[in-house]
Amino acid sequence: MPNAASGSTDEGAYLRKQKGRSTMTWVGVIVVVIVIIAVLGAGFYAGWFGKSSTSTSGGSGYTPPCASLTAAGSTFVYPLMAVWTTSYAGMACNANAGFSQVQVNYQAVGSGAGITDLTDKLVDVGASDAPLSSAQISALPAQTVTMPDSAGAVTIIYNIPKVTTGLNLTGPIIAAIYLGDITNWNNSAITAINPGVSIPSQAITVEHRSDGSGTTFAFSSYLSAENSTWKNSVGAATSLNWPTGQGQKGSEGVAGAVASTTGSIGYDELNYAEEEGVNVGIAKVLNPAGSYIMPTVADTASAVAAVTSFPAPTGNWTGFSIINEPGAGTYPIATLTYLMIYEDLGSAYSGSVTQAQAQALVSFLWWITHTGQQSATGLFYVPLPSAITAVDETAINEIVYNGAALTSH
Amino acid sequence: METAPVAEGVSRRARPKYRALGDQLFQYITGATTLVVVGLFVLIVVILIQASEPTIRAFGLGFLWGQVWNPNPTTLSPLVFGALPAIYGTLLVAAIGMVLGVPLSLGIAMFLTELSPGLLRGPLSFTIELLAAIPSVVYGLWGRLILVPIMATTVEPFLGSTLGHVPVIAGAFAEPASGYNGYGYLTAGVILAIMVIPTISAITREAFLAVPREQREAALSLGATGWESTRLSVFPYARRGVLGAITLGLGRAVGETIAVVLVIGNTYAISGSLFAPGTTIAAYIANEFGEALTFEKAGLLELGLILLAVSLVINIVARLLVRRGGLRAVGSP
Repeated sequence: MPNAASGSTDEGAYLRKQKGRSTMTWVGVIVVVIVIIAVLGAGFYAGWFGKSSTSTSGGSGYTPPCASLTAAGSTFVYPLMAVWTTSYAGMACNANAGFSQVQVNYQAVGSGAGITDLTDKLVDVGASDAPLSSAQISALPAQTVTMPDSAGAVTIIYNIPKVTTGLNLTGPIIAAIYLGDITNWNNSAITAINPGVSIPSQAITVEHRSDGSGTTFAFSSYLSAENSTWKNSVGAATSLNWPTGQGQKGSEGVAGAVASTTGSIGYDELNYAEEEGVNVGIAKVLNPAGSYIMPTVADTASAVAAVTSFPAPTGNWTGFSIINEPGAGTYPIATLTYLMIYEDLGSAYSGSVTQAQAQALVSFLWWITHTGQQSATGLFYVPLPSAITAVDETAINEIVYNGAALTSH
Repeated sequence: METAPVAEGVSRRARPKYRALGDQLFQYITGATTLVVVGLFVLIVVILIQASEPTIRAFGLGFLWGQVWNPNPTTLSPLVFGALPAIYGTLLVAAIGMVLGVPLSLGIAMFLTELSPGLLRGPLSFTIELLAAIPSVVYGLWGRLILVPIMATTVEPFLGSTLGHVPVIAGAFAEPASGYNGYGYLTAGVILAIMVIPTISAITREAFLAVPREQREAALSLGATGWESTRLSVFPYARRGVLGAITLGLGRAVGETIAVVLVIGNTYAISGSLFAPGTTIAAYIANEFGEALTFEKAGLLELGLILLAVSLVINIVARLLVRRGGLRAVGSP
C-alpha cells in the first residue's frame, strides 16, 4: 500500500508528529531567544539604554537646549547630513524636557517629498536639491527661508569595455544620448572629440532615476540648457517623462546598474560615482570656457565660487542654478543643495514646535554652515565659500519664533 | 442542541427558540468584526475614488488606454497621464509569476503530502515556509545583485537565441535594442514566482491534507496507480482550496512593489519582449508618490484604484472558473 498522507488517524503517525512538534518547538524557542538578544544588543549600541554622552563643547559660546528635530528630503546630501546629525548629537546642550542631546532625524525621501513634508508641517526642515518651484511656493502655507547648505557635482558615468575613465563628452552629445538619437558608443560625434581613444562598437544602455530626485533636476536643467529639443519636450524637473532608458531606484541604484551593465551611461552624484571606483568611468564634460573638465571637488568649488549674486533668503530662488558657470577650470554640471525652513517657527507650526526646539534648530543650522563644512571635502562635497556662508547667516538670522529673535551662536 | 440532517432546500441550522446569552453575544461580536473589515474595504474604495476625482474628470476613460505619463509639462509636451503601460506590466509580470510559480507550488505540495519520506517532511515544509518570511526588499536586492546578472549573461541570451527564432513567439523573446541587461519583465516574473511559492504551496498542502483517506483508498481499490489516485480523488476534492491558494498568490504577485521596482527597469512603455524593461502599477506608484504634487497624486491614486479593480476582476474570474468547472467539492458551502 502506498504511503498514505500524513495527518491521518494512525496512532503511530500521531505520536511521531507530536515528537516532531516538540523538536520544532525547541528550535523555534532558540531562534526567538537569539533574535531577542541580537535586537537588545543592537539597541544598546544605538543608545536605547542611555549611552554616556561624549559631549564636546560647541566652541562658540552658546549652548542650545537639547531637543528632537526632524528633517527630510534630498538623497544627494544624505551622506553629509548623516555625518552632521551624528556629530551634532555629540555636542553639549542644556538638558530640556527629558532630552539629553540635540537629535536631528533626517529621512532621505527625495527632494520633492521633503518639500511636501515641510508643506504638510511634518518636519522642521526640508532639504531639496532644487530651489522651490512656483507650484511648491504657492502650496506652502507660510513664508520660508531658503539657504544653500552644500554643493556638489552631477557626474556622467559610463561602462564601456576597454575604455578607461576620462572620456570626453559634451552637453549636446549627452542630450542626444538621453533623447535616444545616439545609440552606439562609437558614434562619430563621440569618436571625433576623443582622438586617442579606441571606442568599440557597443550599444548604449541609458540609465536614469526611477524615483523623483534633485539630481535628476540638476541633470535635466543642464540638458535643457544644452539642447532645445530636450527643453521643449522633456524639460527640467525632479520627475520626468524620459524619452528612453531604464529607471533605477536611488543614486546607488544608478551607480550599481552602470557598474554592472556593459555599455551603459548614467548620471550620479560625485560621491556615489567615486564609491564605485574602477567599476565605472567618469566622463570629462566640456565647459563654456572650452575645456573638458573631470568632476572633482576643486572644479566644482570653482563653479560655486563663480556665483556672485544670490536672491534674498525669503526671496524667490526659482530658476537659480549654477549650471555652466564661467571659468577656465569650472565643472559645468554643478548644483547647490538647499535647506528650507519656515521663517516664523512659532506661528507656522501653531505652537507644536517649542521655543527650545527652535533654538536648537537655528544652532544646528549655524553649526552646519560653519564647523560642519569641514566634513564636506572628505565626502566629495564642496565646502561653502564665504559668499554663501554670508547668505546663510542672513537666512538664519531671519528665522524667528513668534516674532522674537532666536540665538543661534 | 441537535441539528437537522443536511438536505436540499432546508436551512442548515435549525434554530431553537432560546439561545444562551453568551452565544448571542459571540454572534454579534464576530458579526461586527466582519462588518468592520468589510466596511474598511468599502472605505478604501470610497477614498480612492474621492482622491482621484481630479484626474478622473480631467482624463476620463482615456486614462485607461493612454500610454504617456508626463508629470512635467513643457511647451511641446502637455501634462497627461495614461495607465496602459502600468496595467500591461502588472498583468504580464503577474502572469509570468503564476505560470512559473503555480506548477512548482503544486508539485511541492504533492511531494510533501504524498511522496516525500516522513523524516524530510517537517524540515522541508519549514524551509519552504521560511521563504515567505523573507522581506520583499531582500528579494529585490538579491534579484538586483544575483539574479539580474545571471539573467543578463546566461538565461536571456539562451532563450533569445533559441525561442527567439520560433515563428509565433519570436517577438516575446526578442533581444532589446541595447542588448540583454537583465532588468525586465521576465526577471520580475521570476522573483514573483519565488515569492508566491511558499504561500501557494502551504495552502495547497493543507487542501490536499484535508482530503479524507477514504477518497484516496477508494480510488486505489478501483485499481488506480499512485498518480491516477491523486488525480481522481485528491484534485477534485481540493479544487477549492487550491484555487484559494492561487488567488492569494496572485494577489501578492499583482501588488508586489519593492522587489519589482529593483529589477524591472522602470520604463514607462509597452514592449512585446519579455526581456524589455517596463513597470507595474505598484512599482510606479512607489517611485512617483514621494515627489508628486497634488494633481499627479490624484493620478497615482487613480492608478491604485485601477489596481484594486484588476484584482477584483481576477478574483471574480477565478470564482467563475471554479463554478463552471462543474464539480463542487463535497462538504463545502
